[in-house]
Amino acid sequence: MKIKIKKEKLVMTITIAIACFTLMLVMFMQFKVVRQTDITAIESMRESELRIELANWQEKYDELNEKHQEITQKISEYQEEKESDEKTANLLEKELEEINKLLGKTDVQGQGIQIILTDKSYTDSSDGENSEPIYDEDLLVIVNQLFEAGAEAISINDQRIVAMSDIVLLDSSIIKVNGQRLLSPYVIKAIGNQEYLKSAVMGKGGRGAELSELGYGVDVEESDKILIEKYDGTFGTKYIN
Amino acid sequence: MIVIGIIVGCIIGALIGINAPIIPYTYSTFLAIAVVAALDSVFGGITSVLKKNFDLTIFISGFFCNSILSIALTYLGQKLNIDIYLAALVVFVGRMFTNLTIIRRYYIEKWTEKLQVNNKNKEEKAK
Amino acid sequence: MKNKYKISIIIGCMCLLLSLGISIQIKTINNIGTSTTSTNEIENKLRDEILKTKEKYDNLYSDLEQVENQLEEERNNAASNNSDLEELEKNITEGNKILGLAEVTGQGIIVTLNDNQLLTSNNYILDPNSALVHDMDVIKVINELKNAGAEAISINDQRIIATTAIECDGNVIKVNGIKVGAPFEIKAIGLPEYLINVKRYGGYLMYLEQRGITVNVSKSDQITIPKYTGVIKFEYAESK
Repeated sequence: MKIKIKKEKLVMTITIAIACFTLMLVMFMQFKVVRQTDITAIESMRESELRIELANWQEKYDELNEKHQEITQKISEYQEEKESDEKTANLLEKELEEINKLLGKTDVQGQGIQIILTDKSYTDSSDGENSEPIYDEDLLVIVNQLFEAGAEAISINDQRIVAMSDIVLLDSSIIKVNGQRLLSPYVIKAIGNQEYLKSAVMGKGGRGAELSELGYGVDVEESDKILIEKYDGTFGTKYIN
Repeated sequence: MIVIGIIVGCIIGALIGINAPIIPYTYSTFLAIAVVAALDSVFGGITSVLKKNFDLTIFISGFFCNSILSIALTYLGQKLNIDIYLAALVVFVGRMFTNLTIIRRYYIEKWTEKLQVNNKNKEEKAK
Repeated sequence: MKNKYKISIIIGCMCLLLSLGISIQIKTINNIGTSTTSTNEIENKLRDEILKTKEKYDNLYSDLEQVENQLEEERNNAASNNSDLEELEKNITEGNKILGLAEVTGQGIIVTLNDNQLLTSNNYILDPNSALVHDMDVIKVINELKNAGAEAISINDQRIIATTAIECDGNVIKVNGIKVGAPFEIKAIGLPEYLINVKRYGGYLMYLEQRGITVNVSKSDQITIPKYTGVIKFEYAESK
């Protein structure tokens, strides 16, 4: 009799445990979906947006995958060449070269566009010949718009724009980039997809188009061989650890 | 013993749920309604325990059948272009509240009773 | 017997009507393609795909971090007993830090920008737009920080790298293609005494304050700036 009661209780415990298990399992799976949906903010998106979002994620995944393979390959290379100092040096140098290229420490060439900005000049009846200079803000916006369009390297009057490059107005007509004084006309070179770059600056909402409308000289040229010089300053690394 | 069973079941379920691969978004509506149905059964179970007419078979069958049925109804609703799951939600949550009320009343009554007994004891002692 | 016959016919007819109704409805919905319920099938399928891709991405990302650590270890091992190689290895690590491919810590300042919370109390604000922090404001503040000698910058934990674009996207801004919203926490590593100069009289932060935007600048000895979460690579540019 006692055994029977015990057995009944055991069955009950197990069944209830199973019920709890299923409930929690389903609940937490659901939490996960809801959290991910929140992060990606896809709940309120419509079909076309969703398609773009999906393409974005796939692209990001592919890029990451490529990098993953690259790194695994590097690891195996290091492991293979462990014995020889010379070969390891080669590998290290190759890696450093790649980093320097991405940093802007090497000259790079590729398809892209060149924009020449010149000051707006007009004749005023009282003061005669007059000119309106291009401001640092214009250059900042154009550089930002170019990066938005996927530019890989940009230079202004051969001053390469690197990670910590600043663009400041010194006085009415001198702009400092990387601490170097530049004078108008400004030649902005950018490497990347020509069409994207051009439409980003000269299309609707592009600062180039706006400047041109205001009477500034904006001259855009596409070229398959844009040469962008390297950054010859030093990178500050005193405070980053 | 039952408490241990509940805790172990909950923990294992939660762990697997966190680590499980993500489920398709389409099914997430179904899962949500199933969770609500299951929760409703749980509250119903607690109420019946308090009322001392708990039956394991009824509890378990309600737990799973309600979930599955609500999923089926939601699916049918999708096919018919009508939000049936809203109706299911109203019913389930409404019942959850009723059960919660019963549970709450049960404990409050128990508590006040205890308080009264205590007071009586004190009075008697004072006498 | 006759009664039963009658009942079965009636029930049969009802079943017929019901299934007819259901099937017609289903067919109509399928033909229209867009059901009015919140769960549109095509969209949900796309959402499925996005979530799945994101999960794959997340998994791969955590995997990648492991592999990167492993690579660094290999590099360390390979260069451990040769001073020339050690030099190279050090350059690589440092290059990665500047590029934004490694997390960095150091002293610096934190600038917090928030939209004007008391729109109505400020009478001289005529344009509600000026009470919000725009992409241009962030660009300018970052430019000033760079000018003040910042060595690494992040906005709401999005690292600023060489090719970072700051875009406007409705009422939020996008940094590195990722949406960030107010309040904006801009962290910069560098010499705090120089960086604090962004708060100077006549600086852009002061202009923002005049517009009613909440600006907060604080020094810190220990700022951590996360690494860039994307992939940096050149497709068009080639070394010469």
